[in-house]
Amino acid sequence: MSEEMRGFDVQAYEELVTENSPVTEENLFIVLGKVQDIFGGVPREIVRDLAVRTGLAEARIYGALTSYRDFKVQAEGRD
Amino acid sequence: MKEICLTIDGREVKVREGTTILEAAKSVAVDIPNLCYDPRMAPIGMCRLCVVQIESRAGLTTSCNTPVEEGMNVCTENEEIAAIRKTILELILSEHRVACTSCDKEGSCKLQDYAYRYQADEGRFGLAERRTSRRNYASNSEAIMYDPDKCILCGLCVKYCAEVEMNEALTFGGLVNEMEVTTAFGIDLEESSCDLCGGCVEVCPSGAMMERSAVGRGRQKELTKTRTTCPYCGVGCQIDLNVNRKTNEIVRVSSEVGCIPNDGNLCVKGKFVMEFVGHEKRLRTPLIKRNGRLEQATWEEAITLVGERLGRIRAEFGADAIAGLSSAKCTNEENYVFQKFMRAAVGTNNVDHCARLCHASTVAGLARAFGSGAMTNSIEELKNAGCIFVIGSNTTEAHPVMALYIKEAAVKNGAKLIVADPRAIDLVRFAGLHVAQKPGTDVALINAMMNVIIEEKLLDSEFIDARTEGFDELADAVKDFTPEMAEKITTVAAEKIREAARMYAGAATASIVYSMGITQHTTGTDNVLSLANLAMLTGNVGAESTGVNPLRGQNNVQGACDLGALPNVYPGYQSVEDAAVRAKFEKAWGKELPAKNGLTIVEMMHAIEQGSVKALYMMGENPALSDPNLNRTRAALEKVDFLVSQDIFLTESGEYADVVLPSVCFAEKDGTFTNTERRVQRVRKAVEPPGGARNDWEIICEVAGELGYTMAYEGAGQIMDEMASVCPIYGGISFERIDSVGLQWPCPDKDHPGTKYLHKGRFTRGKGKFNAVKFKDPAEVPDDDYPFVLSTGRQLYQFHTGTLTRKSRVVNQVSPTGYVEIHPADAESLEIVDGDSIEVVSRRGKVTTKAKVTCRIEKGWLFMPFHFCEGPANMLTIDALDPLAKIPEYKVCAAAIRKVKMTS
Amino acid sequence: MKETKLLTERVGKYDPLDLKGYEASGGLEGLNQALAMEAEEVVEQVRRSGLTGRGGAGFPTGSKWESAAKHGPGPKYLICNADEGELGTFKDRVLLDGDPWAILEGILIGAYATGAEQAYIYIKGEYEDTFGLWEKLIEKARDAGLLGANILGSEFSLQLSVAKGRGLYIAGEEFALIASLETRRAMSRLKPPYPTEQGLFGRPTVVNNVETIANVPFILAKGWREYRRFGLEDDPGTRMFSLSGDVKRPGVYEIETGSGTLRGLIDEFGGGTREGGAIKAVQPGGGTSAFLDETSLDCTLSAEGIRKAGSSIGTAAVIVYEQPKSAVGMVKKLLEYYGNESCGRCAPCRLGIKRMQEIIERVNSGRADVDDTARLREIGRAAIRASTCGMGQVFPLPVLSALELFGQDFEAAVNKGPA
Ligand SMILES: Cc1cc2nc3c(=O)[nH]c(=O)nc-3n(C[C@H](O)[C@H](O)[C@H](O)COP(=O)(O)O)c2cc1C
Ligand code: SF4
Ligand code: SF4
Ligand code: SF4
Ligand code: SF4
Ligand code: FES
Repeated sequence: MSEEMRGFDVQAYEELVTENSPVTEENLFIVLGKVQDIFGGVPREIVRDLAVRTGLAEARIYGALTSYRDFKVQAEGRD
Repeated sequence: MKEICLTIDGREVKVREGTTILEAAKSVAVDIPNLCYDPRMAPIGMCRLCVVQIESRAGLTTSCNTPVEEGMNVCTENEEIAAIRKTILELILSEHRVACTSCDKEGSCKLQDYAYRYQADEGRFGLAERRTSRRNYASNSEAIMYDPDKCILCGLCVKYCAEVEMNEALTFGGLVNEMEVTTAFGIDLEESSCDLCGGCVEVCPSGAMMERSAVGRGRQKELTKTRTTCPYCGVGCQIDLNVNRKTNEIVRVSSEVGCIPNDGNLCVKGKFVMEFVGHEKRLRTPLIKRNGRLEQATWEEAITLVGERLGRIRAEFGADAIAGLSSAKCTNEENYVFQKFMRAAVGTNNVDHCARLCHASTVAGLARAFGSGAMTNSIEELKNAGCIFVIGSNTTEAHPVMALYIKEAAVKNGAKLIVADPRAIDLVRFAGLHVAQKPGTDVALINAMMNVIIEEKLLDSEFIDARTEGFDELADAVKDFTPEMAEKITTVAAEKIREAARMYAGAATASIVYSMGITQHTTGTDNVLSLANLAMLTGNVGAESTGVNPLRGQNNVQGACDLGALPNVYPGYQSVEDAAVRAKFEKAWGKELPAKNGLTIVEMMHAIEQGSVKALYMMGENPALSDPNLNRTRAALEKVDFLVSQDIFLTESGEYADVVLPSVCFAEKDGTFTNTERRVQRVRKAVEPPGGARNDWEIICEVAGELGYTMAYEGAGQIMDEMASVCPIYGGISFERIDSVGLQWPCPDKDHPGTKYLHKGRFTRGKGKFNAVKFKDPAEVPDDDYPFVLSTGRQLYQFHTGTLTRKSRVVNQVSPTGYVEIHPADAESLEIVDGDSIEVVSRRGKVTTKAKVTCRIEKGWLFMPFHFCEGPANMLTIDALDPLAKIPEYKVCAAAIRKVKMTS
Repeated sequence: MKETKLLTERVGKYDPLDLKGYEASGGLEGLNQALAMEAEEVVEQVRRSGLTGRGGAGFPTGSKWESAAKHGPGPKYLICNADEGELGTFKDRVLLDGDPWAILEGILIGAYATGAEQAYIYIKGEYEDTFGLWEKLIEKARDAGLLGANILGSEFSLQLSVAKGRGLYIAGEEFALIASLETRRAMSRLKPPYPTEQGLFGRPTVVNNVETIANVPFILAKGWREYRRFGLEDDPGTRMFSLSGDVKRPGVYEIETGSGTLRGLIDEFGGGTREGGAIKAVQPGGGTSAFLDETSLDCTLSAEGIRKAGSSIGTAAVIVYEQPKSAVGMVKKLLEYYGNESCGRCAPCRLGIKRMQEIIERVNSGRADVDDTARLREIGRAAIRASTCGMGQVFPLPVLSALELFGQDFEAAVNKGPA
């Protein structure tokens, strides 16, 4: 995990990813949902990390998240 | 394909199966309104304006996505549909800031046109809140401007970016009622995966996305479009210069969907980088060096001086003491005139140009193997290839629009894509297989692939028997060269080599695509020969979507070669040493011509060093930045007795010149360029040149006159006619014939349709020739003092020596400085972090540049783009030459790096 | 009138996490029957049962399965749509919470029949507890060999994942739902191709409503002939009516199709209007169905009966409005809910829904102008005729039907002027 991943519980995120490994297009929506439920939002660093893992574009994930009322994207790690 | 017959508005229409109703209607000039349709992308279906009534169907149907069916009876507009269209437009206008009074788009705005057609009332449903004042993803972009209040959310820009450019930099963002176009997290466009192709701007049907630099410089209805050919890479995109006649400025560049070869697609350079055209630094008068300083002079003074000095040198040392560099940036006509000038007016074959530096090995290699050295297929054919083997070409950066076809083949048409490149270049994203061979080991890789193909009987014996010679020697040469042996040399796992071989040999149609990563080696010709071997071995040449395709770097490097700006051939690759050919040219040009081959670029520099060449005439060339081992080149420029630089800017090389002659650029002249697929395309004058700048060919003709040889033409068209008369492959080409679409040579006569792909049924040289080649190490390999392998190359935003691109604000924003790519592990061991100032040193020189730490490159290897004069990579490169093609080894040399300690 | 508990019989009769309890009450019989048949036979059973979709569109379930099943090798998906977003609809939750194993059994049968090896259940975000229950249920099912490889020792394998809706009504529309699971914006798209041809990740996909799926175990356990003994010839089985609005006893009532009238449902099960007043209007098929006025309430409770009366059965969510409500206020409330729920694809839907909302608000506050009813009709026509999915095609219906039936309410509001 990159150093940039600051401001939220990196370990919790790593556990989540391990539990749902491998994260692919097929379970990404569900994983993002869990991120939202655990962190109260989806930090940019996580979007970036999941984009790399799944090979999907960040813009695609961001665009998707912002279309749902109950997802909150966070530009920086949660403070 | 099947034809379908249907009725549209009472008229019988016949179209191909799979055509949509909208396209079918268009074919009979029925214009169904649409705001979200583009033939290059899957239908979006957002605007709903294109609804039509199909007889016996209950609802209305969107015509942009519905294919025609036999016997269908379509009504494209009735009272109800017209009323619905009006309502939809009024709804769209309710959230569109109608500002036609100050909008640049006026004149080409589809929204405005339809609103007029249906007499839509912009206030019918009130006006929504404004959000323009908020920052958005493009607020800081020099290239693109986005106004959410004018955005009608048609989705075309997002779709283009995802489906055509395949970058997915853009998305819709926000809940439905706050929806707008954005990047991920609204980051600046330049920080996103965007590569500034400008396609999003091009497809925008309203004024929501604009070229930032175009804003306020002329509304679309005041602009005149001139169709011409892009002056950058060899793809030769057709572009429309949109000129404001009042200010003589190019306001924007556009391109028409459907045009050949680029189908309306462009890259950042063609789209955004035209500031150089009317730039304040353009040369406006001739300059003469007096007391070590270049001073303004009149044309008469300058031409007389050039004539005098060249005349004197010729008288004293002979014609071969004069050398000329023609230019791959100039038109075919200018290249033709220049080489004619050197040969007939001056009397020497010492003429060359920068193709030497990029594709001389292609010309040499393919001529030996096939008989002619050009791309065998058309760009568009790549789209349908079953397998594409890209080797030594960073296509998305060096030939971006070509890359679109490769991506389309891989992503949409299921082609197998093999990318062989030391770096994880962008194309790797789409590749089925990435082979990261160590720089300079291509022959080993390809020989091993052939070993597998022969071993596993994947070869095409029928083709080999019928169409080639020399197979046994080849088979012998690669017999023992197993993938395991190659693994030791290339660092590529043997199994991957096998896989690549099987993929390539197994496809029904396979195209090889290569570029400077293959050619710029001391083994450049060997590399090319190997690829030719590979293609012939599997029968993969001489058919549609099947062949060997060198991508030429500069816009007209193909044409400059075709028209004889080479020391050994006249126009049309006719040897200067062939007496019959020479006789023909002597007759045509009315002058006795020299019989022996001239000098190549690097040889010219060496000859200057040794004192045998006394004068150098450069037309549009900048060897002080582009040639290898710059210190040596610069010393030569310093040393030569008389140096002429004919150019549009005062270049690094021009600084050394005794006389500088201002010429006009592509947008100010008529002529032709020949793109990498051998297509001869028009260049047209769109703006007036600055000051006293003149056409290159006119200047050359005048200098010829001073040397006592008359050359006179009324215009470029007349030069083309003369070219056609002496150069058989251009024999049937004239300005009239290529007025709307270019022709591909060979085109021997007026009725010939041009040649889509080469070597059909028969190679140019008769039988294809296998040439057994053995792997050789590069000229310089790493050692303890210089432990890294340094490779140089191109970068998307820059072009060549940066003369044109570095004057652009768009480019300077995204690519302000040079850099060297280095693997994180190497960086770590040298305590270098991203952005550090570092010194790169080779046996020939050193430069200071920035470190770019990236996993794109393997450990132990370095990569540097060569465009930057403040950190010129060619200070480091080696001028070791390929023995046959005389191309320098830009791609491999040994280097060391160290961190620069900051003082202060 | 009486209830016929084909689907709701077991609800509340066993602990929802207790598989044994489910089996004890006859559960898994359908699955066992199905696994003993060829997949095509299972599809055939469902086709002959005449089951139609309960999610709103009423498409024949057997045909849907058949068209997904006929695709050759490669992944296929089945999605159980538990997003239950239509206003007034709360029947799916009853099943999800009260008889979840039956839904699971239905999913298993559907996946087996169509060849899907991955299924999803997409649960409305507000149903937090339901979501939690299903997460546990899936684990239990896995432990019991009902999910995973070789289910109940057969060749058949299935993974089931549970996804939580994220607060969008439109995400229940099948293409938007698919987009959602693909981590795209919740947007519908053009059809064809239909989901059974190119659905999730471009693969054949069956999307079925919870209630639809709940019918399946019975059909397989008892056979299609037995199933068709219930309800009408051309609309067999039962419907779970969600009764709400101004009634004394709101709730979910399962009724054989054709076995009663709308008025009967409201009076006998709902106990009549809340205040005992006259009925002003009824929406028989959820918040996007057209209003019926008092004169049409004797229609039969079936798709055809309600269609003849001038509306549609939709999700069978019956919303009752009591006098002296004004139609303007009724419509305003609906648009407040739907006004933010277009997916944004079709211009007339995305913009029309908002503009309609604004106009209705103007009418309601007495600031409307004489042209506003014409504007409503223009928007309605454009959206209904030119939108791509069920959303744009239906949201104007309540407004247009209100204008038709209760025009005087609009006139009164316009004439009243601002307060
Ligand atoms: C706007 C809109 C919202 C919808 N929401 C739901 C929903 O929440 N649940 C549902 O089962 N179907 C919903 N549907 C219907 C689905 O698109 C789809 O037709 C249904 O899930 C198919 O299942 P069925 O054939 O079993 O009815 C909705 C449709 C539209 C147009
Ligand atoms: S310029 Fe090209 S790459 Fe950049 S956002 Fe626009 S379409 Fe995408
Ligand atoms: S910016 Fe232009 S192309 Fe993009 S959605 Fe808006 S109107 Fe369409
Ligand atoms: S791809 Fe080449 S020819 Fe086309 S616009 Fe870019 S630089 Fe010009
Ligand atoms: S009708 Fe509305 S909800 Fe449906 S696709 Fe169109 S915009 Fe989206
Ligand atoms: S062009 Fe068909 S919906 Fe826009």
